Amino acid sequence: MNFKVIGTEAPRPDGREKVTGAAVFVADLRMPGMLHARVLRSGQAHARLRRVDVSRAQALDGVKAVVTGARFQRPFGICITDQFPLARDKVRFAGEPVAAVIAVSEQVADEALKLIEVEYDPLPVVLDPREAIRPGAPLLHEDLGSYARVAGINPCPGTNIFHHFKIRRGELEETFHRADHVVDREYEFPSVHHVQLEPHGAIARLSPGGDLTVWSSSQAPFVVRHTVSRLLGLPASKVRVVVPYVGGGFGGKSDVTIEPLAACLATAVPGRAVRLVLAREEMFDGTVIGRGLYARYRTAVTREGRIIGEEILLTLNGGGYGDYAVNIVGGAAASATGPYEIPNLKIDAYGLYTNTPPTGACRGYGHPEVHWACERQREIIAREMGIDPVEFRLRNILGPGKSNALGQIMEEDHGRVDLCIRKVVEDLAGPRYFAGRGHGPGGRPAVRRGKGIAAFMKAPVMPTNAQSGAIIRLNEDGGATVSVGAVEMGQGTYTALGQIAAEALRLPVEMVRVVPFVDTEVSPYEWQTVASHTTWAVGNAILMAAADVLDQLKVAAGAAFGVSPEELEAGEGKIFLREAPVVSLPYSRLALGCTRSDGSAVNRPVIGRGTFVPSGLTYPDPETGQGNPAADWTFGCQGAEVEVDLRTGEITVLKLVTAIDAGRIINPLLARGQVLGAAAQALGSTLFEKLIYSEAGIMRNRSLTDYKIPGPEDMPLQTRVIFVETPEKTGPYGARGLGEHGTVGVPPAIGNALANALGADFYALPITAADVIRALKGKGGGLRAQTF
Amino acid sequence: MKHQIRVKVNAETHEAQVSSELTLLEFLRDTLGLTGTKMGCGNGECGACTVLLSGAPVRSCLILAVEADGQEILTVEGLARGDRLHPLQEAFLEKGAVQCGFCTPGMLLAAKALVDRQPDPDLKDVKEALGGHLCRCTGYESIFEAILAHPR
Amino acid sequence: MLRPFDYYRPRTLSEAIKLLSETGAAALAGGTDLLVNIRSGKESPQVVVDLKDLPELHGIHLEGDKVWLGALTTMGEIVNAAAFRGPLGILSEAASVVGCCEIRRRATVGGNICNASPGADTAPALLALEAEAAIRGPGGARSMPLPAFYLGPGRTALGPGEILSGFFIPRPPEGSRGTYLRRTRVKGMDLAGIGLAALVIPGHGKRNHEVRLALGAVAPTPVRAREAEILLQDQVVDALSLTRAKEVLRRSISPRATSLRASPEYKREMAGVLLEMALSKLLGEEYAG
Repeated sequence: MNFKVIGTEAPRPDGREKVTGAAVFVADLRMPGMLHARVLRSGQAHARLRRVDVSRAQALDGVKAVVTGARFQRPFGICITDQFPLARDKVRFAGEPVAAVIAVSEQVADEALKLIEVEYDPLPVVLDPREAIRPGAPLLHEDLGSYARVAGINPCPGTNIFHHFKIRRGELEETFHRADHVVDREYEFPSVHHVQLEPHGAIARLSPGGDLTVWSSSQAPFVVRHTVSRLLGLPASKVRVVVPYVGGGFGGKSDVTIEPLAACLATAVPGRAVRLVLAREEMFDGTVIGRGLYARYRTAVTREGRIIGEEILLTLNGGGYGDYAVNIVGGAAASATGPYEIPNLKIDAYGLYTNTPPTGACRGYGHPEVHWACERQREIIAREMGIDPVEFRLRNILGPGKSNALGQIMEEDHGRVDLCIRKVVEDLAGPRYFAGRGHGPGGRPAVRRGKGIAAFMKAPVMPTNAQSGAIIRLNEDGGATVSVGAVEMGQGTYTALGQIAAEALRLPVEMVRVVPFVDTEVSPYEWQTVASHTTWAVGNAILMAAADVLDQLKVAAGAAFGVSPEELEAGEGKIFLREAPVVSLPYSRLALGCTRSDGSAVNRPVIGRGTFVPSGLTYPDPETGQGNPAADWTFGCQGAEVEVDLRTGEITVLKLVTAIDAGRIINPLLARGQVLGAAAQALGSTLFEKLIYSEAGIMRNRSLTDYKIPGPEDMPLQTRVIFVETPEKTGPYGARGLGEHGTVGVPPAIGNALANALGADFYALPITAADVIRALKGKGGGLRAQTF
Repeated sequence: MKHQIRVKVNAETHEAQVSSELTLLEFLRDTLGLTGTKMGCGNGECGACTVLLSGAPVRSCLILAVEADGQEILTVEGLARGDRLHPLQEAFLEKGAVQCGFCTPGMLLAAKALVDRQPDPDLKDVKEALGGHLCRCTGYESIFEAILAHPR
Repeated sequence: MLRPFDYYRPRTLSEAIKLLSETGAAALAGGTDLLVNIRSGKESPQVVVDLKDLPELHGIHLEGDKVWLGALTTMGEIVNAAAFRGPLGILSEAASVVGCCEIRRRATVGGNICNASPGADTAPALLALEAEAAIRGPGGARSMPLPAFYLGPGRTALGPGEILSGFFIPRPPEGSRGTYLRRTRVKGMDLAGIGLAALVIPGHGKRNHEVRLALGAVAPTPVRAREAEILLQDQVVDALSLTRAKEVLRRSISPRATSLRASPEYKREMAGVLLEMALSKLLGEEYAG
């Protein structure tokens, strides 16, 4: 296929605004008469609320309202309705909102917070999901059994388990009997934070007419609308959610976070806009956190190096409220094997309530967590069996005709993980690659180097009927305005979608504008901007809307020329006669309805409509997990070369290579930026990032001083991104998702490289210099490290 | 307590009454409406609020507005000359150094201070100049490339 | 937004001393610690006294055989100052890793010391250089060795109205060399998990040298490591003496168990490693270890 726009490095439409400071984020908005809200957060991780006295705060000059949980009777939740915008009877994590002050300034609101008196009856705290699952652990939600929930969720009332997801394939016990080798290991991916540069913000206003508007930094405006309308008992049509540019999301601004609270606060001061912008510290303990998974892998292997069976136990920290984490449980389980065919499987994935902030979506959604475990496990198996780790992977690889953990059969167009592995190995390979232990570069005995790879796969985790829409209005100059419900949070979605629209409409990309914000009142419905599914799903909706536009144009031009629409073609902004291209009408003449010479109208204005849901997806079977819940997969492989200073334990990533089969690449510059950005984020998880709590459950590193993310100097010295482009048959122009995938293989690739360099296995992230020193001194043990 | 200050921001002189505790960042954003300068942490750790104070990059969240009295300030809004983008702005666009855009203003100003002082920096200089700037989107590489490649 | 306070920018030392004598007054230099502390609620002054217009607190110059370093000298100025190359280079090495470019532009050496963080990067360097803290206050001028200035984490010997005006730093003999090494979690901007300053003052011949060591982030205040110094003093630094010095150094420190930046175990290990790295850097071929 000959593309004009697809595959080009079209400039970002938002670029100029962003380099000039003109781009508007929620915190930049100013409303007439705007008030400011600040939140009093629980200093207890688990306690009954005995008394919340706001009388002194209320009396402070400049305070307009003080709101507590008593005001709100209804819980909210998308999958399980298990929480309130402000705590009512109980607090379940330190940082949970207990009261909020609305005042004329943040300064006054802050002063008022200090005047609120709260009495707690402390309860026992549980922070580790492995403890929360034990009988007799402190129980967080006594009423779990009575919570409303959507289909497919399997909570265990009377315990902290809010979801238990199972996969059962084949016969496990017999498989382990006939195995030649069994490897049994445990892994930990701790809780982290997304650290979006833009703090969460929301401004809400209830108009005198009873309409509620929320301006929000959300990735999920329609989820916010749904949640808020149900919470406040308003018709969805009376709740308007507007999302300007978002300063990074990474899943941490998906579903809902602070918006239900902001909306509730607005109802306390009708007519006034209420602004709630979180401080950096509140982002850590007042939004959602990510990851937090313990995994145990027991693998049965034959002498020939075939994985014949695997038993996997996944224990996910859900935090105080499980709503956001329900689908991570299933998503992690579905991809827990990595990109390998394993005929006999028993996977149990549990989501646990604990007294940490709730776990939400985080770039990769369960996949980096399970790949940390499974790709370390693959490496260890290969080593123990004396098989080359690359060869071992390829022997078990998931390819066309093979079946994944859910029983879905892979097809040619699903992508080539084998090719990705080969490309990474080729790029990374040196004389000593994978040949036993790592080595010290010439003349530097205090340094060791090593290389490692990790293959990966990821499917979007989404509802079986995740909806997307697009509306294309043709303008009088022949250009097009494209409305979608997808949010621009940096990933470049409006650029890529604009390219898809331009290609489909046969227009130059400059003639297509994607509306640079979402307004639920005018934008078409979109499930939410998550799961790396926007290019794929919204792109498909745009193709349909563009086809609709072209159909309308052809009908109109046919009427004008007196020919049938089938005789017409579209190209370069014109409709022309296939047999005689000089007979043409530009879009500009047809866009708003063209007229005949007598003035009579030929056609109506052209507005194209496209809507999309994935086809044929079904719920997994509740007992076996078998089914068809995943729409497409993106496969890839990542490789790392590391250098370790044996004296200080300092780790330097010399090289990071990614090969990814993301189908057709719409915009190589943007695609590369997504992969590298994701890899950098995962580098942080691998080497630095972990949320730390006191025994009482207070987060100790809730600032950028104490929670370090990678800075410019931490970047790998060399990076490489290789695109393998197997066109996806269900994707627009063959495209697949790629936004999250660069996170998935980085931790195990580095972990494997460190094992290669040091002869030590690390099982828990992050791997710090101190861990290296401990391992070198043979002081490993537990999940920290083990030498071999 | 109020103070009368006079500052030149992006070549425009402003006189204002400011409270003692008002930070330079708040003054720029809330008083002058120059919201291009971003608040990312308030602790000087992220770099999003970086502006040039008398030509040198500083964290506007850690300076009181009253401290800036009598000085010249350059914010991201003052980088372009009318419609003509600064070469660094052009380079950022060309190299894909902009994603969500929240760190971009601070990055640009730190980069400007660097190339003003050292027109032909190497990668080490760039990393040092950006050492206190966080970006969670790009992985930094495209930002390095933009600064190294910017036309002089 | 910060809690309200009053701001004064006195032009004279006596005015500043008067303002700072009131309870609830805090001194402002670069602001990179004070404003962070106010924002977090760790400090809530009613009055902030900006010292930047006080000439007595500025400047780097020779006074007899000592270098005067004004408290308001910024990290950036130290890095660029000719005075802090050669024997005094240890200080500019330390200043160069504080924060980042923007922070070094504002943060001052006086502020770094007065904030009394156990991990302040300039402190081990100043300790190794045996700097004296110069203080001005209601009772006039006084000075004290830096160790006496530190009372504990966040606590100094400054009384009400007193101001740290600067440091007198004895110039080590020509040929002296120092270095400041530290460990951080990330490679870029971070606070020290442990910092070590080492200064070697040559004597006559291989043996007659003096080694001064000081550490940050290993005790409630930055500390000199005199026991280890004694083991290295006038000794050929070889594998044996180094092993003993490392062992003594490891044992001499008392790191906090709950540090977020480095575990006590790692700090102890690194105290020795940084010592070895520093000596190998400073003694080069002379060092046989």
